[in-house]
Amino acid sequence: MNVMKAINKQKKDSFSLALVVFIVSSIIWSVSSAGIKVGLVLDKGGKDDKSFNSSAYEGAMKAVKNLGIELKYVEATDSNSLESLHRNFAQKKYDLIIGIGFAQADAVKKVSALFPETHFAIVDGNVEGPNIRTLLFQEHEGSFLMGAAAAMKSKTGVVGFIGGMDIPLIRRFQKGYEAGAKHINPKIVVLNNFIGVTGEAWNNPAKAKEIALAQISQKADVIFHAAGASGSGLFDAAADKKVFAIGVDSNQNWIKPGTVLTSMLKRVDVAVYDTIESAQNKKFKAEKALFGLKDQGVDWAQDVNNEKLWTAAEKTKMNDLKKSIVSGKVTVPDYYKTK
Amino acid sequence: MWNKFKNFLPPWMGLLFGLVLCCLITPFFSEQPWHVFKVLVSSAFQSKYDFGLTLYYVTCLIFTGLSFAIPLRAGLFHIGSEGQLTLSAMVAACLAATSFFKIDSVFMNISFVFLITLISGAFAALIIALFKYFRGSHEVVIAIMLNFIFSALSLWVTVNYFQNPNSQNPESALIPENLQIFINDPLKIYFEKSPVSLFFVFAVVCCLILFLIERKTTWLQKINAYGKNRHASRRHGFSELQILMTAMGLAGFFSACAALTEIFGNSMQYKIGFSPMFGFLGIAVSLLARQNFLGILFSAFLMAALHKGASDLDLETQYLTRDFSKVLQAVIIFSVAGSYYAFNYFSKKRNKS
Repeated sequence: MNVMKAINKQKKDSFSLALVVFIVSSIIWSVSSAGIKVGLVLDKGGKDDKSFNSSAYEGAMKAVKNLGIELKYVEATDSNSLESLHRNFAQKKYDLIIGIGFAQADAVKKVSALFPETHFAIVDGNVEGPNIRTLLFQEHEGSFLMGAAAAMKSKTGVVGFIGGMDIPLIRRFQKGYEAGAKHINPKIVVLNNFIGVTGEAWNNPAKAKEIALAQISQKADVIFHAAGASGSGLFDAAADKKVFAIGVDSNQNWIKPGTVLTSMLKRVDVAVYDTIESAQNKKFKAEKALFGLKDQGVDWAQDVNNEKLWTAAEKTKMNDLKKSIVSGKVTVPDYYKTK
Repeated sequence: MWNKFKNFLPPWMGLLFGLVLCCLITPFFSEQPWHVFKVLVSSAFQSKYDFGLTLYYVTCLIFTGLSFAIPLRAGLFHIGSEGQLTLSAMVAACLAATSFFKIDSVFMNISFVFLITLISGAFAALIIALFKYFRGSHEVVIAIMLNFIFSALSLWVTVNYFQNPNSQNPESALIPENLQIFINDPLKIYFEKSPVSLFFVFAVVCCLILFLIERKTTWLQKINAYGKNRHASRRHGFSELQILMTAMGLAGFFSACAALTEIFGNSMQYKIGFSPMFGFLGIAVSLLARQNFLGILFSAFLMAALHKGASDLDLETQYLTRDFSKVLQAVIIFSVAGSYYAFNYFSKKRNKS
C-alpha cells in the first residue's frame, strides 16, 4: 500500500513538475519571440567586403537594434552549400530568409518551393514565387547621374568606367553611365573596361589599378568603378595621378577625401531593413520590389568629405537632373530592356 | 590479433583525439564544447538531404583521392587533379549542352560524351607524364602550371561560347532534358533530390575493384616497384614510359569521373568554381588512408563529413565563423595523420623495454 502511495505521489510530482516546466518555457518562449527570426545568407565575398555584403549586413544589424529581431548570418563556403544553408534555415523555422546576390537565385527558387510557409527575399536575383520578395535596384538611374557628374567635372572630355565582372548587371551600370555623360556633353569619350569574367574580378584591386592607370594615360580625368572590393585600386591610382574617382554601392567618399568625387549609393541596407520590418509587422508581400532614385534606394553621396569639390550651381544641376529622371522627363536606357 | 588490430586503431584514435582537441579549443571562443562536438559529428546526418549532400562530397573525394593515390605508388606527387577536373567538367557540359553528337539514341549519345570526357581527363594528366619522361621536369611544377592553364581555358571557352543566356553567373547552358538521365535515379529520389547520384555507387565499386586488383593480380605491382626504386625497375627492363602513362592516365580518368559526378549527377551544367578544391582535398584523403584503396572510402567520408560540418558550424554557433571552422578541420586532419607516428613511437618504446 505504501509502495502504491509512493508511486502515486511520484506521478503527481512529476506531473506538476512537467506543468511548471511547460509554463516557464512557454513564458520564456513568448518573451523571446518578440522579434522574428531572420536568416541572412551572404555570398562568398563575406560580410567584410566593404561593398555589397557589408551593406546587407549593416541593414540587418540595424534591424536587430531597432526592431529586436533575432539574426543569424552565414557565409557560403561553396556554391553547393548555398542550397543547404537556405534549407537549414527553413528547417529551423526561421521566419524570413534573405539571400544576397544573384548567385543564390537557384537555391532560393528550389528551397522556397519546399517551404511555402517561410518568407524568402533575394537581392539582385529575379525569382518569382508566392513567398519570395525580390529586391531589385534601378542601377542604371544612379549610374546615369554618375555619368552626368563625371561629364560636368571632366576638363579633358574623356571619362572612364571600370566594371568588375562582365555580366549584364554591370553592363547596365555601364550603359547608364555612358548615357549620363553624353546627356551633359554629347561629344564626350567614354572608356570602358572590365576586370574579368569570374567572381574573382570583384576582389582584384591590382588589376583595377592597372586599368585605371591605362585610362588616365588616355586622358581620362574622372573614372567610375562598379567593381566591389577591386575599387580600392582605382582610388589609389586616382590619388597618385590627381584625377577624380567615383565610388559605388556604399558611401566610399571617406576612403580618399578630395579624390573621390562622389559615390553611387545602392542602398542594399535599406532594402534589407525594409523587408525585415515588413515581415516583422506581418505585412510581407511576395513581390518584385524596385528601389530607384525615387525612394532613395539608389542615390548619390554628399558628405563632408566631398563638400569642397562641388559648387552650389553644380549641386543644383545634379539635383534637377535627379528630379527630371524621377518625373520621367529624362529617360535612362536600361540594358535589361534594350539588350 | 593485436598486430592486426594495431593497424586499424591509430586513425580512429587520432580522429577521437582531434575531435576532443577541437572541443577543448572552443571554450576560448565562448562556445559550448559539447554543442560544437554535436554539430561536427551530427551535421552530416541531420536529414536525408544533408546526408545526400555529404555523400556527394564523398563521391568526388573518392575519385580525387584515387587520382592522387595511384600516381603516388609510382612515386609521383600528383596535384593536378583540380585542373583535370575543371577541364573535363567543361568538356562534358559543353558537349552535352550543345548536343554535339547528333545521334538519336540517348544511350549512345551519353556514352560518347562520357568517353570523350574521360579521354580528355586522361590526356590532361598524360601531359604531366610526358614532360616527366622526356624533359625530366618535376611533376609538381608542371601540374601547378597546368591547373592554371586548364582553369583559364575552361573559363574562356565557357564564357565566350557556351554561356547560359538566362543567367548572370559564369556557367554553361543546362544540358538537354533527355540527357539528364541521373536526375531521377533511385539514390537521388531516396535522398530527397540532394546532389548525390548513382556515381556514388560507381565510386565505391571503383575502390573495391582496385583493391581486388591489387590483392589478387600483379597488374599494379609494376607501378609499385617503380615507385619503390626507379633505378632497379629500369634495370629490370620495365618500360618507364608505360608505367608513367598508366599511372597518370588512370589519375586523369578518375579526375574526369569527379567532373562527371558534378555535371551529370548534380548541377546538369558547368558552373565556374563549382569545386571547393576537391582536387586538393583529395590529397589529404589519400594521405589519410595511406593510399589504401579501401581506406580511401573511409577517409573520404571523414573529410566529407568535416566539410559539411564546417559549413554548419557557422550556422549553428554564435561566434565560430566559416574561417575558424577551417582551423578545426585542420586540427582533426593533423591529429589523424599524426596518429601513425605517435603509435609507431610508442610501440617502438614498448619493444625496447
